[in-house]
Amino acid sequence: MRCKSIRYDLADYASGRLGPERRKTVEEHLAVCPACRDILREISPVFRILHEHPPIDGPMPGAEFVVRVRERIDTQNAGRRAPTALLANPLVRFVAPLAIAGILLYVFLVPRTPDAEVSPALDHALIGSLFEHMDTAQIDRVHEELPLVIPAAHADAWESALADAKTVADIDTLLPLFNDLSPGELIAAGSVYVNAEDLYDLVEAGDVPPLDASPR
Amino acid sequence: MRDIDDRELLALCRDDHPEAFNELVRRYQERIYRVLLRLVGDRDDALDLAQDVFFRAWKGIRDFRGDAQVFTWLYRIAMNLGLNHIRKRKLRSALPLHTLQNEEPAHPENPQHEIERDEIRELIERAVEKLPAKQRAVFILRYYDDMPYEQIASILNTSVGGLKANYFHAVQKLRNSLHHAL
Ligand SMILES: [Zn+2]
Repeated sequence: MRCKSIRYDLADYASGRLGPERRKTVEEHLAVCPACRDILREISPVFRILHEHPPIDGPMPGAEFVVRVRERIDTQNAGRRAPTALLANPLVRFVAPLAIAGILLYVFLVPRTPDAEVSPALDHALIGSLFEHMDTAQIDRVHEELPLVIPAAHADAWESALADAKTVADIDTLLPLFNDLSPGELIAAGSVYVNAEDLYDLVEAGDVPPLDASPR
Repeated sequence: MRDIDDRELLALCRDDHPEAFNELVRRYQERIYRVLLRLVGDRDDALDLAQDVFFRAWKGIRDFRGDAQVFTWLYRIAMNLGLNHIRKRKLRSALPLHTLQNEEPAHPENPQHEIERDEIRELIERAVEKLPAKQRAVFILRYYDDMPYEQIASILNTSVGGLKANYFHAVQKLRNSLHHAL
């Protein structure tokens, strides 16, 4: 029995969520595998503490909730346009991700003298407001563009570390690469971090995509 | 109206029966609010997002083909909006203008053991908040909502194998974040 097929069931085993058959399979494996027993011993206390401290949800939405949803629907039906009509425009929404990628490309790729500082204030406000009006797919698209704007000084380190990454912990070690970035660069680093979340899955699946850190 | 099942309710909603949509909202408002509260960790944000979920559901109700369960559909909208929200928040927190706020969890009027319980609860909340967005979503749906992987896969539009890996890594990370309290 391969450990990996058992390992991903250990959390459900520890929290009592496996069916009787699967439970038996896991127990048979645990009886002969000290490595999986160690993992079980490590994660079991997590479920104990979660069980002993269930979250306090506080008050649930009451009768006024549906009234407020209705108000929004009625506003929409009345054909009133929101103050953010510009950003609701499909064309603007389509262009916004590209605009952000463009701004970031500008920040990193336009040649400048070593002590010329890019003023971050304008970029922050603009990028912040654009992100407010994007849906998940659009944000994902920006994230896809963002590896392009990793500063050249960090690109090699990022690429070689990523090429060597085999585990989730390996990806975590990449993140401090961004610790000494300038404010403008931090915007990109924050996004690369979001992107790194998806890399967890890819590395786990043994399918790390090539990361193109050079300008196209 | 309370006695009819989701499918009939949906048919009435499509016919613009106003009371039918109100019933749909009432039927699911708590579950949707609760999962968003776990995901975003803030009551006001969760309430706003929950209203947004039903508003979008209303707008999309004619496109919903009814091949999924109603609550799977609502959860999908909720998770999309919630994940979007925390990704935006994370991007904003990467901006140096925003410094982390100090939270004060102490409740001086509570007896000692209650304070400790609250502190551990707070630790758990923060540990869950520290998980990468997708792992957090998977953890919440699997652990707190006790949902089968197949259903989570349909909500998050991903594979069962990947979800099991996500869940396992989430639990390992929680273990590392909480090890002082264990
Ligand atoms: Zn094993």
